[in-house]
Amino acid sequence: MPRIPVGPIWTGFIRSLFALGAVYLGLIVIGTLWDVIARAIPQLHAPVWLSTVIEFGLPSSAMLAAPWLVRTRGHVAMELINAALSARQRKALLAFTDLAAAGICLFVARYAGLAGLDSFERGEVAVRAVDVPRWYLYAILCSGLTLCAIEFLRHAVLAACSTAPEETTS
Amino acid sequence: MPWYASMGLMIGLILSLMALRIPVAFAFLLANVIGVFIFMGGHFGLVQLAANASESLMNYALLPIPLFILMGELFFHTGIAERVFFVVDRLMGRVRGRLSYVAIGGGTLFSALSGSSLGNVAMMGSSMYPEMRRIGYSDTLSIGPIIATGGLAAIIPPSGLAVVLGSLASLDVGRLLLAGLVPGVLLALGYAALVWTLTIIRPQTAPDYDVPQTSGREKLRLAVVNLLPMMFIIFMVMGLIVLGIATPTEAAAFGVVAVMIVAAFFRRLSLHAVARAAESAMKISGMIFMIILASTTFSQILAMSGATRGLVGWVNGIDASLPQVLVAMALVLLLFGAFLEPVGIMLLTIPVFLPLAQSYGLDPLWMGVFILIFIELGLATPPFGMALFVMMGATEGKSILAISRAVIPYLLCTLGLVVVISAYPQIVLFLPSLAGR
Amino acid sequence: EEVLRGVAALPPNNVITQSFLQYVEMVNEAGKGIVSIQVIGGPEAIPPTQQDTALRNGVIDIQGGPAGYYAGSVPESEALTGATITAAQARQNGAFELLRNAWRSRLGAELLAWNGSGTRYYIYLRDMPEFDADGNVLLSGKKLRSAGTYRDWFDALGAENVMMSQSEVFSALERGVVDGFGWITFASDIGVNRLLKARVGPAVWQGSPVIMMNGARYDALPEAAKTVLQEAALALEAKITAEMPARIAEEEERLKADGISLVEPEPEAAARYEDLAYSVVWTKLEADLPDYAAKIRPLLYPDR
Ligand code: NA
Ligand code: NA
Repeated sequence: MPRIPVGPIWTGFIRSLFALGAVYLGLIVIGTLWDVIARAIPQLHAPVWLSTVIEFGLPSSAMLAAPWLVRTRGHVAMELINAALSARQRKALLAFTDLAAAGICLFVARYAGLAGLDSFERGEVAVRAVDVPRWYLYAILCSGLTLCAIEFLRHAVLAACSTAPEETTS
Repeated sequence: MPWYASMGLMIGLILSLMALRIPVAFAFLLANVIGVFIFMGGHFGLVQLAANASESLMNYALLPIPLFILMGELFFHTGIAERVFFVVDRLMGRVRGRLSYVAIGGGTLFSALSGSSLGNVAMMGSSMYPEMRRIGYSDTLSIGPIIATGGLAAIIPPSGLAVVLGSLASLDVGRLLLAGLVPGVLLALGYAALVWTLTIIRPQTAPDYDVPQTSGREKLRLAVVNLLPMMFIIFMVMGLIVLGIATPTEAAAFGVVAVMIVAAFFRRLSLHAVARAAESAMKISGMIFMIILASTTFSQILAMSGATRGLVGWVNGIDASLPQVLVAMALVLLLFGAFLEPVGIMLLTIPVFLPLAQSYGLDPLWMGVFILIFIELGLATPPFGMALFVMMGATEGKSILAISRAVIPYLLCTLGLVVVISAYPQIVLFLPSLAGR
Repeated sequence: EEVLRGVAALPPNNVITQSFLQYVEMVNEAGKGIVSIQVIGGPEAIPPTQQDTALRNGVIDIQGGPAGYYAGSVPESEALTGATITAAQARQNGAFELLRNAWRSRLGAELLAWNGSGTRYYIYLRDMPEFDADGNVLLSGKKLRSAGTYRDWFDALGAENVMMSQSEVFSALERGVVDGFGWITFASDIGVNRLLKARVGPAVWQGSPVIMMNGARYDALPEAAKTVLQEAALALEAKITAEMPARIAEEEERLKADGISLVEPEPEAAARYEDLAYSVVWTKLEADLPDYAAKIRPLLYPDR
């Protein structure tokens, strides 16, 4: 049986989510231009859902980008005690913080999931320019954080398996 | 739990988690969960945390942040930024620290185009900083002015934060905006004077390199060819606002397009450059948004715990002279600025500080500007300073310590201005008084 | 003593929050030793649109603010906007009971008071409007800053909805990105009077601020505490209804002093304008909740 290259496929997936987030940023630019131009020209009208799509772009792009930023260590962290630690201690600390971050992501994702399910069952909507089911927002948060957790865990596991002092990806 | 215990607990928690090198956003999330357990109760408190977090980014006012970051990255990746620096070098000759003055001028100009401090910092950071570092500018002369003048965006009109403040305090928004203009310009001049002083005291912090002699004719040609297109970008942002076609937020999108048009004019626009710019912009704004999500909920939990109200109430309760009360307010605003986000700070302090100030005979407009200046300071004070984080993203690799150190002289300069406007409130109040009622 | 954790939806300088705080004061005064409300914050503690979730889950016990913020979870609340009667009348004719049931079933919440009856809605413009041959105020084609509440009404008027956050309203008005906006009677609060020339009447709709409480928490209270809460609610509603004319007059004086004309079309045109505004609310409710609308419309919107 041929081995499925899970690693590269997963990396490609996370990477394409990030790219999708960047594309969404581009769409926000185009949507805003469209909105303004349509308003300035009396014959044109921008669709009502446009402002809602733009607003959803902010949390969506953030959550699409977040897992890849975890992978590339793109989320900023303080480097206050690094100098005081040996390479070994630094590695151990990094593994510990990766695990802690993974745990907290899963934890909050779980409650976002629960709240989303509840909201779905109750049929709640967020009243915007067009009404949007409220569970969308929970779903975005829940999936983004879950993927972040997987990436933090991946860092921790790779660190445990490797003997190199620190993984460097960028 | 008394308010100071709650506050000490939450602040101690976030500080230790950050010190452990947990990424800032996730350190906030972890502190939030612990705070929720203590102050809201287990299961339903956590549901509430998820509810609040899910909505924290659904805010149209955040839109300029990614747009201005994109604009700055396009400046950089299409090479327009480099071109502008080249021209500045030729035009300004051997003025020491000239790019620092350009950063101050550009940041101030941009403050008049936008109301978003973070967008401003990100724009200037990603377009100017890499080149300044390459040429050999020290952090104090590159990172410092960029963060400092970036903050002016909320003080110099237009300013989204000032409008929010005006409506929270039932102040005339137009007069509040006018009140910010003179202090904003004074701050910019103060920063320029600071750069001048620094280049005198420590000349080695600004690179000194030979610039080829340029004739007046050549200077004129360079200026026309390179700076006129820049005017076009400024028109696309400011012109559309002034003509009433777009709001400051929307104008940011036109800024992005204008940079692309200018890049095309210089034949520097390529799919590759746009893709690189979009990637960098997504990196920075994704990081910033994650922090905003987590820190907004942190502010909310701190408010739920009663800690912030307790502190604000303490200021209200002290029976002291006006200068002492102002110092107490300043300390509270600095502390909040170090840990909370701007709108949260305003919601907490305005209802108490404004009436208190009025009871001492202070003009509420003056107090509004006072609060705005401290909110700007808060964006640049560690450990939690959004402008510092934006800069960490834009510099890819600078530590928070290095960035904070670079900004300190400018923060002191800002505090100096606070002292000046406290002694001479007319500096703030003169312009709005001309606007009549 | 029972201590209830209260939250306001809006900042303290807002009229709706002020009336909620009045209620808190009344309860704390009358309920000494029995029940009291401790206000733990406002929008800085829990975002206004998430306060329904907080109340339903018991994170907070009592909340005061416009029902519009959670129209997505209590769609029946929009009926209040289309009301032409006072809170006291709504209690008398059974409309309040229908609303109370809706709050119970949707949010598990006890509806305590409708503390904003008498607050009305207007369109505020940066230029004096023109009239057509029939005396109607010409609003068609005007660009109006909008939000969920106004969307369908502005559409029906032929105006253009411009969705933007409140932090942009000043700059948008100043530069003419928008020609005006919809707001309640108390427009001075938002600080843009200097940019306005006209307030277009007649007043339509009513404000939907209410005070509500977590249902389970309410049910578990001793009778004496419930009585304090309910009596304070009645007293608050009566007080607000009684004070409203003077407060409206005060606001109108302030608007006039700031150079804003209070535009009122001729009676026939005014009636058309009113009918349109109300029909938008009721048409939407009839489409979304036909049974409910059929029951409550004749009560809240009689004689039409
Ligand atoms: Na500005
Ligand atoms: Na800070």
